[in-house]
Amino acid sequence: MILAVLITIVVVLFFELILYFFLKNKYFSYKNEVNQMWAEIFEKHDGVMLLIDPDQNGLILKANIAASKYYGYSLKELYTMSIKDINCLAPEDVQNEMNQAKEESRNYFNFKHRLKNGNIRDVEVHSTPLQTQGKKRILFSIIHDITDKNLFKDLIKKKNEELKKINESLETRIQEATKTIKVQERQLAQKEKSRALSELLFNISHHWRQPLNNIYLASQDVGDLIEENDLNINEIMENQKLIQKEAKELSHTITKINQFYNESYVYLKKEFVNIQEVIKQIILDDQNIELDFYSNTSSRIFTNKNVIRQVFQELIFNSLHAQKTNTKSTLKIKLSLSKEGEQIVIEFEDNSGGIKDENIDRIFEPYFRIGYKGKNKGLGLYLIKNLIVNFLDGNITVKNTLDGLKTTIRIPK
Amino acid sequence: MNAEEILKNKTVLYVEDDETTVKFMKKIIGKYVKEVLVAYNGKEGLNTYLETKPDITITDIEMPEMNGIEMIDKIREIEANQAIVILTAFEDEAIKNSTKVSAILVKPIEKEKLKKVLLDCI
Repeated sequence: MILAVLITIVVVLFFELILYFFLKNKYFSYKNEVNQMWAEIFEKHDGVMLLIDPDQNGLILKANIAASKYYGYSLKELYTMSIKDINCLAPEDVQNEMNQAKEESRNYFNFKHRLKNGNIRDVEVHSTPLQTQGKKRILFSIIHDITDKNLFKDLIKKKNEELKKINESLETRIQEATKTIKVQERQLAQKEKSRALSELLFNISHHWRQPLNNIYLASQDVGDLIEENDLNINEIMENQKLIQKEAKELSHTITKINQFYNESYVYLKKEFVNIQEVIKQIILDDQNIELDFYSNTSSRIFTNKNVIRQVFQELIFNSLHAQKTNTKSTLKIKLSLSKEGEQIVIEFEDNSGGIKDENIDRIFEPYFRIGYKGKNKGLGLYLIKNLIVNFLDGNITVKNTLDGLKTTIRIPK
Repeated sequence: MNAEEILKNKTVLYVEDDETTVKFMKKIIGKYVKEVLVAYNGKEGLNTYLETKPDITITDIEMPEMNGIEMIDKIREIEANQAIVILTAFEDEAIKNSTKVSAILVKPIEKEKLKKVLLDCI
């Protein structure tokens, strides 16, 4: 009985032992397979991989097929070589690069590797320190060729620089073109100005004949008086006074034209002009003038201040003058500003009685005399129309109202 | 009777809106003719012409109410052979109308020239 139990135990143990060895074998052959596969991956992977012994002066312990292909050495040759035969950098440069990589917390180094055929390539080396079971240090490196990438980078850099240069030269060219345009604009403005001036000169010379004729006649009369021995002192004095008066008026005209066409108009500087302020400055604290201002837009307009000042000076002067002759009430000026499409419309309305309807179309003519035999030789309205049309590209019109005159000025925004 | 003496018996209508000019011209023309009548614009000139039928009419061009050219046209409708002289500062405007008149005088005017034109008119 005891023997039977013992035999059973022995049989069971025997089977267990067989099972144990069977399973153990199976387990080890699986582990071997994985290890082998791992080695195969290393060997057959497309990436260039090396196992390096740092303690044997960088001896190459293992290299894969890709490495052999890449460097051009056979595996046999590679195993006799050190990584230092491949890396072109001097040992201190290698150290520098390693330090720099650490600083930049990069997990790779930028080196230059020499191939068997002498070509030198830019490479990125990803290195991982490993340890054998015997605690031996081994360096596992994967090498990426980045020469083409770098070339591409350099190319982009070069192209960028070229673009930058082109941009700069373009800027210079634009600046030059702008300069030329400005010069042309100035020339045009000057041309415009001289055209306006020659027109003015023509009109004035036309109308100067009359006072010049009178001066001529008065002096001729003096000559006649002397010739005829008719030395009437009073008559001679009268002629002398007349000559003086006419000459003074001619001189006054020149002053006025100078005032209108002084240098500041040549380069027509434009700025934001507050029309209300300009008018306030003209009337100052004249108690006889009331100013009402209406605006549905900004009271600042972008234009030439000199022209605007000249225009309103003349309009206010005319209104005051008319107010003194036509009515006796306070001068009320209604100024309104509005936008109409691309134009700024300025309306200037007074209560000075207006102009005779038959004269209204002619008041912008030079030297137009308001009323028969009147000596109101208005040059002012002619001059301001000239300024508005030629220098501001605008226009000016007048219209009688119930008790005064409404002047409308339109200028482009 | 020589021409100057004949001229001495003639009347002249002078149409001009500038008073100073009128004052002197009246004196100068007056030296050569019997009488100088004055009007200060075309309308007045035409009326005076119709009333007095002067021998010679001297007129400016630019004037209020009715200008010299309009007045000349009206006078020509009545009397085609009327002696008319334009006396103006605006030669170009006068030349445009030269066929309508006997002569054109441009301001400022010399006495001798005026005298010659007046003599030619009679």
